Amino acid sequence: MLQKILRSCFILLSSAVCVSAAAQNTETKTQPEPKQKIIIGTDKEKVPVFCGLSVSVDLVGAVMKAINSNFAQTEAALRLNFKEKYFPVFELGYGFSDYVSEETDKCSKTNAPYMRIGMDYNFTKKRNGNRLYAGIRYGFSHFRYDLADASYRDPVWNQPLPFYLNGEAGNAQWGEAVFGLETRLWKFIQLGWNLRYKKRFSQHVSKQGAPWYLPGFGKNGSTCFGGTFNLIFEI
Amino acid sequence: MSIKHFMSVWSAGLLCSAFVSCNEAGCPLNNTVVAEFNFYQMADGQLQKARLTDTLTVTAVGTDSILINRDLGVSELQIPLSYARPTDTLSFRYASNRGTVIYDTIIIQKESYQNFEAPECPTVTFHNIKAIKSTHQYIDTVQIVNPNINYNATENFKIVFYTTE
Repeated sequence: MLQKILRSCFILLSSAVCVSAAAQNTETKTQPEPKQKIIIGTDKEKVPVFCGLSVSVDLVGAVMKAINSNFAQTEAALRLNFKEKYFPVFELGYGFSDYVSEETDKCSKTNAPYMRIGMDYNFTKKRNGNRLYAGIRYGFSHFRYDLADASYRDPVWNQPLPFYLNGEAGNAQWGEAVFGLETRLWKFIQLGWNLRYKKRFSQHVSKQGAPWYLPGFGKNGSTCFGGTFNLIFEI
Repeated sequence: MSIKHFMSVWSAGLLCSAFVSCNEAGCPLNNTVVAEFNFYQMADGQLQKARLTDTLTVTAVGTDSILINRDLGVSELQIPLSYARPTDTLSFRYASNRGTVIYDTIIIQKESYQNFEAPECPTVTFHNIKAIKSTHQYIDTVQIVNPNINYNATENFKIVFYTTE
């Protein structure tokens, strides 16, 4: 009876780690309780300081690029693994946008690289490749952008004034709060996704207008939501 | 990893990717850029707001645009400036009910620049006033109060008329 209660508690606690429970192994049904406790305890003792590194690519950006979305970004990340808990990460990407408003025919174009650095923290206890994590990022991009409003005219003084701003330099900095999970697909291959809340810290752009899209950030604004879907290779 | 788990992760990921969105860049509600003129007169040694008793018509010289058409009892004006010209010339036509017509001309020197705003919003032109001068049929003096003409509808010019009996 006591064993059943303990087993139920363990399952409930595992489920409480919310979505990651879906990615957890369910071998607990067949294994006796004491043996499982020993395994977890041994894992904790054996975790080395440096557990390896991983590289990943974002699949969402590639899909967005393929379907001709208003903007897309291809991205790769290098992540270190310390004690299966702390994951310093460096992300490098390239953002594309060529947006034309259907209402006004005004255009905004930005193509530029971006980078982010940050850290993830893994909440799961087991070392089975399944992770539930939260993290922070600092993002930066230096870019050039074009703005165009070819049909602009002065209605009172009856003068056409096509507006073009070409190759204007700018930069932006932002922070991100990240929440995500990943699961082992096969040996060293993992699949994961994350959600990101982004807050723009600053942008330096022309006083005549800002780009519609900031590489790495998304649609220009004070805040933004984003996400990535990653194919991860652990080394 | 079982098929069930695999599907859970994938569906969550698709949900995540569908969630890629941002706050909307709303266009400014007040998106008209006009120069604001207020009318004054000297009374008892002090500058006081004035209301014209004559009918006022304002036209942009060099165009066929009538900016203000036979307005009566005017104490302030809001007039759009040109988007690109360095100098705007405005003709003020005062018509009294006795049939007399008097003209004043105001010349405004400025620098203008376009502001793109968001692609969904109309482009606007802001101005920075450099100088203003006028003829002196009815107008005594013209003064620049705020040289920046943008979304903020504030008093840009003070026009002081001669005091009449």
